[in-house]
Amino acid sequence: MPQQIKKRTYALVLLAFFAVCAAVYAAPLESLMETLLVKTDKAGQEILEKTESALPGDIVEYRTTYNNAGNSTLTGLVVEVPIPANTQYLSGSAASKVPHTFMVSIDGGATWDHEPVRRMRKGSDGVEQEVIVGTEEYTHLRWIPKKAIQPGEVQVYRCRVKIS
Amino acid sequence: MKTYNPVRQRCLKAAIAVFLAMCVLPGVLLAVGTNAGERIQNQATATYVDANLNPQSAQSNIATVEVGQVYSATLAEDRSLFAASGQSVNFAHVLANTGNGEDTYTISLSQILNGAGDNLDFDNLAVYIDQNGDGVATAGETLVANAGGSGAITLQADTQVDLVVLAKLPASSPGQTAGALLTATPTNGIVDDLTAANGTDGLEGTNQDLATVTDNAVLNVNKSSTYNNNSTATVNDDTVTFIVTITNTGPVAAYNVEIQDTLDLTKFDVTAIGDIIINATEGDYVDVVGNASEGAAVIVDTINGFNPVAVNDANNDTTTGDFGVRGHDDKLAANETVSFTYTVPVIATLPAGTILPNSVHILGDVNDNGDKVDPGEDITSNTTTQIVPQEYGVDAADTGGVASPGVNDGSDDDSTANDIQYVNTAASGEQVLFANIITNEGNGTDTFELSVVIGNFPVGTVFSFWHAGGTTALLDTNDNGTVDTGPMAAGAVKNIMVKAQLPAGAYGAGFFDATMTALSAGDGVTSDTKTERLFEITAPGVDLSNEAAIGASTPDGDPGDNENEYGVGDTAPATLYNAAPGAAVNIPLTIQNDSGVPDSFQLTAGGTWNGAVLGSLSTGWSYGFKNTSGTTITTTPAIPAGGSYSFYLRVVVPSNPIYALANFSSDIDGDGSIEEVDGPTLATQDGDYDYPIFIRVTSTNTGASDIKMDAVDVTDSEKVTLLANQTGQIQPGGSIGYPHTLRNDGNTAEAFTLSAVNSLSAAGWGHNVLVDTTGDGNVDTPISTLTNETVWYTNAAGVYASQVFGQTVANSLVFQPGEKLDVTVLEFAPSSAPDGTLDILTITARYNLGASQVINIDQTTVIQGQIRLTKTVAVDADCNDVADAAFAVEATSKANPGECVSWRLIVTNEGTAPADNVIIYDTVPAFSDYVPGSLLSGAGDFGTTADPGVLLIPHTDADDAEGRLDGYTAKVVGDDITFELGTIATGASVTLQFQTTVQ
Repeated sequence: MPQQIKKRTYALVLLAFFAVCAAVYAAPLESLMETLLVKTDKAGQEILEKTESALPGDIVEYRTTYNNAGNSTLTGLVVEVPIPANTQYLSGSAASKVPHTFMVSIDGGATWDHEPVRRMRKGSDGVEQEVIVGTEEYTHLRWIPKKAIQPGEVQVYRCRVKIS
Repeated sequence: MKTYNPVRQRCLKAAIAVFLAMCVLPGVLLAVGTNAGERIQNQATATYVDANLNPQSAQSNIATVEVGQVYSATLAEDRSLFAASGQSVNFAHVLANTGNGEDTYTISLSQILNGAGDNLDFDNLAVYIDQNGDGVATAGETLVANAGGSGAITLQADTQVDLVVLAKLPASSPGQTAGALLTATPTNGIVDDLTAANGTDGLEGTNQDLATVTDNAVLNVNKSSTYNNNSTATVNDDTVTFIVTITNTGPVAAYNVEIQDTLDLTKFDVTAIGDIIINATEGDYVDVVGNASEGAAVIVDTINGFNPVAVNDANNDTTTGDFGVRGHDDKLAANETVSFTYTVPVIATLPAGTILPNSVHILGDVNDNGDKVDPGEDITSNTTTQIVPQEYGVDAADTGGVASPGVNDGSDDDSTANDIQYVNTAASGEQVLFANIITNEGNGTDTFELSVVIGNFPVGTVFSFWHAGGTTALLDTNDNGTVDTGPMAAGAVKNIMVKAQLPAGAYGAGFFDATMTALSAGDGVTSDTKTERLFEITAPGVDLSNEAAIGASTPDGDPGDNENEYGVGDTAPATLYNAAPGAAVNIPLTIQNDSGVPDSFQLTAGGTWNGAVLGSLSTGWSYGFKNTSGTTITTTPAIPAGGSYSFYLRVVVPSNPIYALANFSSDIDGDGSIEEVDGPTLATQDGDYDYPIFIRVTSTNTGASDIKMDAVDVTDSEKVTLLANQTGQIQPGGSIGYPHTLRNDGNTAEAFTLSAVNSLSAAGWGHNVLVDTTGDGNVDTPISTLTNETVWYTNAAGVYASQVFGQTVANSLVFQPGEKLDVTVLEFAPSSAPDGTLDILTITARYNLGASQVINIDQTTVIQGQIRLTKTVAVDADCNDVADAAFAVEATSKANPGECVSWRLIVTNEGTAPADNVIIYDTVPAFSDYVPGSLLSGAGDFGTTADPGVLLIPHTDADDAEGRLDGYTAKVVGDDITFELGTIATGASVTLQFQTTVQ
C-alpha cells in the first residue's frame, strides 16, 4: 500500500509539473528535468535533495523523466542532455533502468562516441598518439533506449555533474 | 578613473565606511569556482517517431541551478623595516577576495600587537588604499581607518586591493620597536594570512607591521607601475612601465647600494637585454670613483656606481638568463633619492586577467661596516601589480567543407569558406539547417549573444539556435533575454546550428538571405556577422492516383510526376467502373505527399469540376471515403514527407433508375456545353456515356492539391410498366374508356409501339388507343392513325411534354427513363352484343424492336345496366383521415412505410336502367394493412376532392346491419372489403373510401 500511495503521489506531482511545463502543442511525449543536490546524511548514506542552488564543488544530479501521455507506442527515442558550462560530468554517473545504449559527445553534439572516447592527440613530445579522452571533456550525453516507449510508460534518465 | 563615494565620517572611535569602485585590480584564476549568482541552465531534448512515422522532438523544462557563494580571502603580509627616530614609514599590504562572490571586509588598525608587543606607539597611524600601487601613502589616496578604528572595503570576486599603512615614529632611540596590527574580517569565512606560518602572531586575518628604530642609514625602496595597452584590441603590443624610487631616510649615508630588479620571464616577453627599455634615471649613482669621501674606515667599494641598465644577470651571480635591471649607487647620502624608469613588453599570449606582480630587491651597507648582511641591509620593495586586460574578439563563420546539395543536413552547399552558409534547396514548410562556427578571438572567457535578422526569408520564418547536432537548444545562460553560446574560453571554437523554420505554404526562388550576428557579452560592442543563405524553396505538392486494389499501394515516389493527371474538361476517366443501379463501387486510391514536410489532406468527391469549384455528384448519388480498415474518413492522417497513404472511395449508385441512367451526359466543366464521358481507352468505350467521379485532395496547410477523374458506367436495367388491368361493363352498342399508363421504369431509353386486340373482334367489337395530340390534357387521336403528329406525354420531371410520333424510331414513341404516356383505350361493343358477353382486350406495348413486351388485359362485360367503377388513391401521410392532396389514378406523392393511403371508389350507374343489389368487392392491396374503422361511403360523385368532409359517412368494420339512412352497409373480413349499396338509380353515383397503411 505505501508503495502505491507513493506512486500516486509521485504521479500527481509529475502531473502538476507537466501542467506547468506543458508544451505549446500537445505532442504525446512529456518531459521533466529536475536538479537534485547529492548529499551525505549523518549516517553516511547518500541522499538526494531537490535544489535550485549549489556551491562550487557540489555534485548536482540531473534527473530527466519522460512520460508517453499518448495512446500509441513511440519509437526511435533518443534522449540528449548537455553538460552545461561551469560544470563537469561526473565520470560513470549516467544511469537509467531502461535498457539502453549510452553515447557521449566531446564536440558540442556534432559527433558521438561510446565510452571510453579515444582520440589521436599530440603529446608533450610532439608525437601523435591515441589517448583516452577524460570525462571532464564531455559536452553532451545521449541515451538510446533499446525498446519503444509504450503508452503510459515512464522512463527516467540520470546523470551527475560537479559545479566548477 | 578613480571614482569613489566621498562619504566619510571622521570620528575617533566610530567606524569609517568606505566604498570603492574602480580602483581595485581585478584578478582571475585565483577564484574558487564559478561566480556566485551564476545561473547554470540545462534542458534535455528527446527525439522520437510517432505512430504516423513523423519525427517529433520533445524538449524538457529548463532546469536551473544557481551557484551559491563560497567565501575565501587572503591578506599579505607581515612587514618589518628599520627607520630613523621621528620618520614616517609605509607598510604595503594586499587584500584579495579569492571567493566567487562579493564580500565586505572590516579593516581595523591597532597600536596593540599580539604576543610580545612593542616598545612604542606610533604618533600617527592610519591605513589607506594605495591607489597607484607604489607602496607609499600618497596625497589623495583614500583613508580606510585610523588607529583604533575600522573601515569597510567591499571587493568583488577575484579582485584585490593594495593597502598601505602609514605610521610616524615618535622620538625614539635605536633598538626600540613600534608595531601596528592590521586586521581584515570578512562577513563569512576567514581571511588567510599569507605570511609564512601566519606571521608573528600565528593568527589568520592579521598582518603585523614592525618598525625598529635605528641610527644607521635607512633604505626605502618603492616600485610603481603602469600598463600601456596602446589603444589596440590585442595584447601583442602591450607593455608595462616601472618606476623604482630609492630613498635614504636615515641620518647617515648608505654605501654600495645594489639594485637588482629581476623580471618574471613567464609574464614579460624579454629574451634579449634590448627588450628592456630604460626610459630615465634620476639621481646621482656614480659619485666619485674610489674617493675617500665614499666611506669611512672599512670601505670596500667593489663596484663602481653606474646608472641602472638592462642586464641578463640581474642578481649578479654570474649565471645569465635572469633578465632585468641592475644599478649601483656608490653612496646614497641621508635624505638623498635616486630613481629609474623602464619599460618591458608583456607576453602576448597571456590570458586576460593574468596577474603581473613585481617587486625590486636592493642591498646596501647602512652601517658602513663593509658588508651588506646586517639587518636592514637587504630589503625588497612593495609588490606592484598589473593585470592583463581582456581584449574582445569574435569570428562567426560558415563551415565551407564538403557540400551535400539537396540534403538538408546543415552543410555548406557552396563548399567555400566565404562567411555565407549556403543551402541550395528546401521544401516549403521545412526546417532548414545551417551549421555555423563561432570562435572566441579574444584573450579571455567571453559569452557571445546570438541573433538573426530575417532579411528576405518568407515572413513567418522562425530562426533558432542549437548545439552542433541540432538536437539540444542553446540557452540564454546570462539571463539578458538573448540566446548565447555560453561562456567560451579564449581561442575556443564552438560549432552551432542555426535552424530556420519556414512557414507552411511559402515557396519560390531565392536567394533568401538572413544575417546572423555574434555579439560579445563582455564588451557589448565587438561582434561579427555572417549570412545564412537559402537558394530556393520548392513548392509543396501532392499526387492522387488509382490503385489496383484496396491497400495495394504502388506510389511512384516522384514529386515531379503527376500520376492520373487531369485537365479541366477532359472526358477520359483514369479508370472506368461498372455498376448496376443500387450497387456500390469501391475506387482504391493512393495519395503521395510530394513535399518536404508532413501534411494531412482533405478528401472530397464530386460530379463537376471547373478548375476551381468541385460540384456535387448527380442527384441520388452518395459517397464516402474510407481507410483500408473500412472506417469512414474525411481527411487523411498526417503523412510523412515523401510518404504515401492508401484509402478508397465508396460510391453508391442510386437504385432509382432515373438517377442511374445507362446513358448519361452532363456539363462536367461548367462551360455551358454537354460533355460525354466514356471509357479511358477506345477498347473500353461502349457508346453509352458514363457518370464522371471527380476526386480531389487538398492540403489545409499548404494549399497543395490534386484532382483526378474516374467514371462509373451504369449497366442497363430495363423495366417497363403498363398499368393496369381493368374490368368494366358496357351496353350493347356502347363504349367504355379504360385509362392506361405506359411508364419507362428502367434506366435506358426505349422506343415503344402500342396496339390492342379484341378477343371478340370478329363479332364486331372494336377499340381505339387514344393519345393526346393537342396538349390540352385530353386524349383525342387513335395511335393507330398517327403518322408524324405530335404526341403529348409526361416527362421524368413530371412536366407535360411532346414528341413527334415516329421521329426517332419508325412508328414508335421514345421514352427516357421516368417518362410516361397516359392513354385511354376506348372499347366499343356492337349493338348486337348479347347480354353477358365478355370481351378480352389485350393491350400490348412492344419495345426492343418488338423483342420485348408488356401487356394489359381489360375485360368488358355487356350489361344493360352499366356500372362504372373508378378507383383513385391519395396519400394521407400523417393518417389524420384527410388526404394530403387530390385523389388521382396515380398518387401524386410517395407513401412511406407507416403512412396512410386513402383509396376511393366511385360507383356510377351509366346504364339506362337502375342497377339493383349493387355489391362492390375490393381487397387490401399488397404491402398494406387495412386501417380499422376507415370505411366511408356517401351518395354522390366526389371526384378527386381530397376532403369531402361529413359527406362521407363512416361504416363499422363488422358485418352488421348499421342502419344508415342511405342503407349502405360495409364490412371487412381479413383483407376483403365489401360494400353493399342496394339500388343505384340511373346516372347516380356513390363514393366509397377506405384507408390502408404501408407496411
